[in-house]
Amino acid sequence: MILRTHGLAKHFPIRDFLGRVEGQVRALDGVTLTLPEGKTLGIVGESGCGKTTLARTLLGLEAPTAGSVELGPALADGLARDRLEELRLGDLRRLRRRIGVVFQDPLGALNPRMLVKDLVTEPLVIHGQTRGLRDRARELLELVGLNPDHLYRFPHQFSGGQRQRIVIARALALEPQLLVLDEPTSALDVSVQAQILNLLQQLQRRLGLSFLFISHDLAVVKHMCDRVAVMYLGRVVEEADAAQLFANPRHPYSQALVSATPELDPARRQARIVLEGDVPSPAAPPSGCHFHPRCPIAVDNCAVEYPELREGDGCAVACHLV
Amino acid sequence: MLRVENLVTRFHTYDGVVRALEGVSFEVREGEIFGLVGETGCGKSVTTYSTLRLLPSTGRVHSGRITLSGESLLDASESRMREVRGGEIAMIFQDPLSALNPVMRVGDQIAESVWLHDDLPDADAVAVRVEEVLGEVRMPDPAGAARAFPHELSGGMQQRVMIAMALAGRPKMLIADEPTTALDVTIQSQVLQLLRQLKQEAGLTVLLITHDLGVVAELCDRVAVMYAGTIVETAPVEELFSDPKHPYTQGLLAALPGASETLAPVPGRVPDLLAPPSGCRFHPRCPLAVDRCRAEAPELRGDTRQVACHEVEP
Amino acid sequence: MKLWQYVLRRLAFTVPVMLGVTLITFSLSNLMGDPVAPYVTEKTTPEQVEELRKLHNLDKPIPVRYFTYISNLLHGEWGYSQQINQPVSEAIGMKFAATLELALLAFAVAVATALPLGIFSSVKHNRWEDHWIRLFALFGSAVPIFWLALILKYFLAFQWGEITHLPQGYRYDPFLWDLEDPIEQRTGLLLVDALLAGSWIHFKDALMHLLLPATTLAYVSMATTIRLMRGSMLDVLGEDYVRTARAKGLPERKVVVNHAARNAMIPTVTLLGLAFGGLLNGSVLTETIWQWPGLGAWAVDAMRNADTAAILGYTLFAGMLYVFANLVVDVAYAWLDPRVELSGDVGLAEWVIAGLGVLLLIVTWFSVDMGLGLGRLLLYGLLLGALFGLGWKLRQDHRDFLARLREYLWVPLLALGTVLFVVGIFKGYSTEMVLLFTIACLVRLTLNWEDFVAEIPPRRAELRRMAHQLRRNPLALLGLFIALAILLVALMAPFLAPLEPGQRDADRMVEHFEFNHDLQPPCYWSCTGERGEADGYILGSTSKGYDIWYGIVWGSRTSLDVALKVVISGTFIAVVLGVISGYYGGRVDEIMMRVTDVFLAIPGLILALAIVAVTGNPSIEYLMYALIIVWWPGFTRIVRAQALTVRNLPYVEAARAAGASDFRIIFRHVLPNCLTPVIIAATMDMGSIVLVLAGLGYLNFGGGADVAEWGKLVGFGQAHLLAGNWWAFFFPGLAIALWALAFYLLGDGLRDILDPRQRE
Repeated sequence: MILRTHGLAKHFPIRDFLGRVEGQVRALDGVTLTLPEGKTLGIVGESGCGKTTLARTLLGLEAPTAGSVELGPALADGLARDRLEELRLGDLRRLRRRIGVVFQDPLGALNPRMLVKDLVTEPLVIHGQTRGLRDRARELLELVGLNPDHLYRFPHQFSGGQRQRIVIARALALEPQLLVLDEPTSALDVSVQAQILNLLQQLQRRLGLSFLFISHDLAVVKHMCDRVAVMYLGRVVEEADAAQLFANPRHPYSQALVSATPELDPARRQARIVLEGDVPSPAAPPSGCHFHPRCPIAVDNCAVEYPELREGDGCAVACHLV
Repeated sequence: MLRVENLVTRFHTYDGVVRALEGVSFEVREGEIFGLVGETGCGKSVTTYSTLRLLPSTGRVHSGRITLSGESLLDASESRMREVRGGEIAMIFQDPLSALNPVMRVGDQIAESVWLHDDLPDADAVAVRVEEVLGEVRMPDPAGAARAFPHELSGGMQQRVMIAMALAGRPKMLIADEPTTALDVTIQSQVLQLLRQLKQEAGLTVLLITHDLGVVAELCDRVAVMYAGTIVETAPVEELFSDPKHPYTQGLLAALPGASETLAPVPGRVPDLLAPPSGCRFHPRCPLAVDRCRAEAPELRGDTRQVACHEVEP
Repeated sequence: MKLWQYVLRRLAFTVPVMLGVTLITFSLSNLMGDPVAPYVTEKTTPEQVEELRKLHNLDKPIPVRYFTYISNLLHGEWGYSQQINQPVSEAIGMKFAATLELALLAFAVAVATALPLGIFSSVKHNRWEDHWIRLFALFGSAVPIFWLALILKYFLAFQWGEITHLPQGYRYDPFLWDLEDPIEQRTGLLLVDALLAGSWIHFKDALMHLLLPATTLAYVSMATTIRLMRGSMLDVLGEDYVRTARAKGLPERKVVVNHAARNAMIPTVTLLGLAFGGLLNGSVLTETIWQWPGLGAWAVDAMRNADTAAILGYTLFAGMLYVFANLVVDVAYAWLDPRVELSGDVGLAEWVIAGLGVLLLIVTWFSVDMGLGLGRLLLYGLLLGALFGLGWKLRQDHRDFLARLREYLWVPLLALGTVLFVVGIFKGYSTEMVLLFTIACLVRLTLNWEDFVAEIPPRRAELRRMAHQLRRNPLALLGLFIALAILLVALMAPFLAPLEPGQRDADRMVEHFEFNHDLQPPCYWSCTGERGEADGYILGSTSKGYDIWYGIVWGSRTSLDVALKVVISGTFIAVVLGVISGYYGGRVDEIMMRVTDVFLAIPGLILALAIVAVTGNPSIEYLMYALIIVWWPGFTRIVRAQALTVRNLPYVEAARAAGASDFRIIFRHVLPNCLTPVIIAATMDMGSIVLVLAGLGYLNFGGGADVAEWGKLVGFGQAHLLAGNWWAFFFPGLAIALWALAFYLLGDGLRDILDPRQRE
C-alpha cells in the first residue's frame, strides 16, 4: 500500500449576496480508498464526482476539510508523521519529491515561454539542484521517447502527443514513487493516446511506479488499471479489481457506467443501461444515498440513510441493496 | 438520400493552400445512421460544412458534386440553401453550451427555426410547436425549459435543446457533429438512445460525425473511415470491425485501448494538410506501401464494401 | 441574487470609493497645496494671514480638518469660488446643465453612429470598407481634441462661415435668448426648454451652437467605441452559436443583428463607462475652445487663477459623475447578460466596510466631533482586528512560522527596490538605472554562458517569426516608421533646430519680441534667409515671433522624455502591484482593487490638472508625477487581470505541486506571461500620455517657460486663428496627432504579433 485515504472530505463554501455562507459545495464527501504499491488505481466518474479535487488534495494543492490521508512506507520514509495533513513545511517539501503529476491539457501544462530543458528540470531546480541539469534533461527526454537534441525548443514547436511526453518527463524528474495522472490522454487522438498509454505501462514496469489514474474514459481505464474506484458526487460507490468490476459490477451506478463501455464485438456488447435525470451538482446533493434519484432499484430507505462502503471479498460497495 | 462525389475543398490561408478534402465520396441512404469516423483534422467537419455551404471565407469547394435526393446542392442558389439548412438538413454541434446563443431564451431559439421552415399562422401556434418538439426530445418540463437560458440547463438538456432546434424545421436528415463528445458518459447514453429512437420512430436519417469508434459500433448502420481528407474505407458496421481491410482502419482498431495488452498504434503522425504526402496520403505510415502508393492516389473501389488502397481488394 | 440586491450592493460600495476620492481631494488641497495662498497678497499683514489660517482651520490637526471637510461637503458647503464670487455648489449647479447637455448629445451621437459602424466594419472584415472605418476610428483616437476643435472652428466657422452659418462659440445667441425673446428655462437644457416652449427659432439656435462642440466631443468617443464594437463583433462572429444560427438557415442579416450584435454589445457596454470618463476629460478642453459656459471651462479658469476651492469642487463632482456612470453601466451589464452570476465572492467584511462608511457619513453630517470620534474608533478597531487576526493565524501555523517568513522576505525587498527605481528615474538618474540593470543582466548571462549560447537559435527563430508577422501588417509598419522618425528628430534636435549663438538652453521657449517677425507664414522648403529674418521660418511663427519648427523639434524631446519616464515608472509599479495582487487574490487583491477604484474614479486629465493646478508648481517634474499618479491604476488593473488568468493555468499548479515557492512561481511563471498585455498597453499609452500632456500644455500647464511642449505651442498658436493664420496651431497639433497615431498603430500591430490567438 502506498497511500490510503480515510473519509477524505473537501467542502467549498457558497456565499450569498451579503457574504454569508449559505451552503457548501461538497466536492469530496468522505472518500476512502487504497492505492496499491506498484500498481495502477483508476478513478472513474463523471463531472462533479470530485476526481480532480481528489487529485489536488493528494498533491497538497488543497487542504482537506476533514478526513485523513495515510502515507504508506514508501512515501512516509524519513518523515516525522505518516499523515499528510499533519506534515510540517519541511516534510511536505520532501513528500513532494515523491509524488509527480501529469495533467490533462498538454498545452496549458507547459509554460509557453520556457525551453523544454528548463521545463523538464524545473522540479530539480525547485529542490535545490543546480548542476548537471542539462544531462538530467537529456536522460529524461530519452526515457519518454523524445529526441534529446530537442532540449532547446519551445513547447509550441511540438505536437500534442510530444508535449504530453514532456509533461511526463517533468513528472519523473525527481524519481517519484507515485504518479498522479488526471485525464492524461483525454485531449489526444486515438493513435497518440495509444502511444502514451504504452509509454506509461513501460515506465511503470521499468521504474516500479504506482499510478493514480483518473479518467472518464472507461475503455482506457479498463485497459490500464489494476484496481478501479467508481466515484459519484464526492464519494466512492464501488472499489474492486478492474477485471471484476468490468465483468460483474455490483453497484447500480457502476453497472450503468460499465454498460456504456465501448465494445466493438457485437456478440459481447451489452445494452446500455440508460439512467434517468441529470448528473446532480455537488452543491446540492440528494439526501441519503446520493444516487437514489436516478437509481433503478432505489427503495424508500435510500433517500434517508447513507450507505457506508462495505468491504467484501476484495471489493467494496456502498449500497443498501447489494 | 445524400450523395457526395469527389468533393474537393481547399482553404486559402496566409500560410498557403490547405488541401482539406481531396476527393471525398460517400452516400447516405434514407432511414439509416451513417457514421463518418476519423481522427482530429481528417476533414469530417469540413465535409459537413461543405455540404451545407457553411465554410468560412477562406474555404472553397473546388470541385465535386453533392446531391440531396437528386438535387445538386453546390449549384443551388443561396436562398434555396437557406431553405435546405434547417428545413431539409439540420445540424447539431459538439459543445451545446457554446453552440447556443447565451443571451436568448431557448424557446426563442427553437422558435426561430419554426418561423423559418414551418408555415404557422401566429406566435401562439409557434409556441405550441416549440413545446411539442421539446417533448419529442423527451425534455422534462418542456414549458419551463423553453423559458430558460442555455446556461441554466444541464449539458444533457442543452444537447436535447439542440436536437429539438434541429427537428423543429422538420428536416429529412440530421447531421450530428460529435454530439456526445462533450457529455458525461451517462448523459451520452441518454442522447444516443434518443437518436436511435428518432431513427426508429420517425425514420430520421442521420449522418453521425465522430472520432469515437464505440459510438459508431453501437449506433451506426454503415460507416466510412476518413484519413487526411480522403475516405479510405466504407462498410457496414459489423464488417468493418470484424474484418477491416484498409491498413489505416486496422491500425486504428489496434490502437484502441483493450485491443491487446500492449497497443499497436500506427507509427508517425497525421500529415500537415498544407503539404500533404503525394499519391496516397497514408503511404508514409503504411506497412504495405510500395512505390506506386507514392505516385498515385488510390480510388475508392467496391460496392457494398469500399476500400481505397492499391494493395487491398474490397 | 436578484437585480435589486445587486444594485443595492453596488450602490453601497460606491460609498467607500467616494470617501477615498474625498481623501484625494483633501490631500491635494491641504497636503500638497496651501489653501490660504490664493487669498494672500503682498499687502496682507502677518496677523491677517494668521486670521486666514484660523478661518481655514489650519491650526487644527489633520483628522479634524478632514472630518470638517466631509461635514461641509455633506451640508452642501463645497467652498467658495474666488474668481466668480459664488459658492462652489451654486456654481456647479448653474453650470452643470450646460455640460450635461453637451455631454449627453455628444454621447448619444457617438454611440448611435459608432455601434452600426463597428458592426458594419466587422462584417466587411479586411475589405476596403473595414480599412477605411478603422482608419477613421484610429484618427479619432489619435487626434488631440483641441486640435480637432480648432480645425473645425477654422474651416466650418471661419472660412466657410458664410455657408454654414455656424457660430464660432458660446452656447446661444444672447441677443435672442436674453433680450429679444426670452423663454422660460425649466430644465436648464436649452434644447429641451426650446421644445417645451414650442419655439423653433430657439431650438435651431441652440442646436447650431451645439453642433460643432458636440461633434468635436463625439468624434473621440465615437472612435474608441467603433474599435471596441468592431473587436467585440469579430470575437463573437467566430463563436459557435453564430455558426448554429447560420446552420438553421437564418439570413445573414438576422445572424449579424440578432445573434452576433446582441452578444457583442455586452462587453462594449461595460467600456462605455470608460468612454463617459473620456467625455468628461474632453469636455474640459472642448468647452474652453468653444467658450461653452459649462463646468469644464469654469474649472480651467479656476486652475489658471489658482482658485483651489473651485478646482477641488470640480474634481470631486467629476469623480461623483464618473462613479455614477460606472454604476449605471455595471447594472446595465448585469441586466443585459443573463449569465452574470450575481453572487460573487463578496465577503462579509466588504459589507461591513461599506456599512461603516455610510454610518460615518451620517454621523459626520450631524456633528464633526462625533464623526471624528467614530472614525478614530473604527481605525483602532480595524488595527486591533487586523492584529488579532494575524495573531490567530500565527497561533495556527506557528510551527511553520519562521519558514513561511523566510519565504515572504522578498516582498518588502521588492517594494523597496521598486521605490528606489522609480525615485531614481525621477531624480535624473535614469541613465545610471539603465546601466545598473544592464550590468545585472550581463552578470546573470555570464554565469550561464553555455545555456545562453544554446538558447539563441530558438529565440532567434521566435524573433524572426514575429518580424515576419510584423511585415505582413502595413499599418503597424507605418506606425513603427513614424515612431522611429520622431525618435530620430528628437535625437537630432540640436542639428535640426540649432540654438542661436548666445542663446542658452533655458531660453528655448522664449518668444523673441525683438525680432518683430510675428506671425510669419511658413515658407517650407523655400526658406532662404537666416532664422529670425523674413522668410526664415520653415513652418512659420507665432504671433510673438516664436519659431514653430523649432518648437516642434524640441518639443519632440519633451514628449519622448515625459512619455518614457511615465510609462517605465508606471509599468514597473503596475507590474509589481498587479502581479502580487492578482496572484494572491483574497484580501490583498480586494484592497488593491479598492485603491485603484478610488484613483480611477476621477477622469485622468481632470486629476492631472487638479494636481498640477493645486500644487501651483508647473514644472515638468510635477507634471510627470501627476501623470504617473493618473496612469498607474489602469496599468495595474491590466496586469492583475492577466495574473488572475495565469494563476489558474495547469503549469502554475504543476509548479506548486512540485513544491515551488511563491517567489519562484511569480517570477518564473506568472510575471513573464503577464507581460504581453502590458507591453501592448504601454506602447499605446505612449501615445495617450502625450495626448494628455499636450492637453495640459494647451491649457498652459506644460512645464515652465523653458520647456518646449507641443500642446503649449498649439495654445500659443490659436490666438490669431480668426485672422486666418492657421499654421501656428496646425503644425504642432499635427505633430501630436502623428505621435499618437504612430504608437496606436504600433500597439495594435504588437497585439497581433504577440498574441496570435486574437482575431486576425
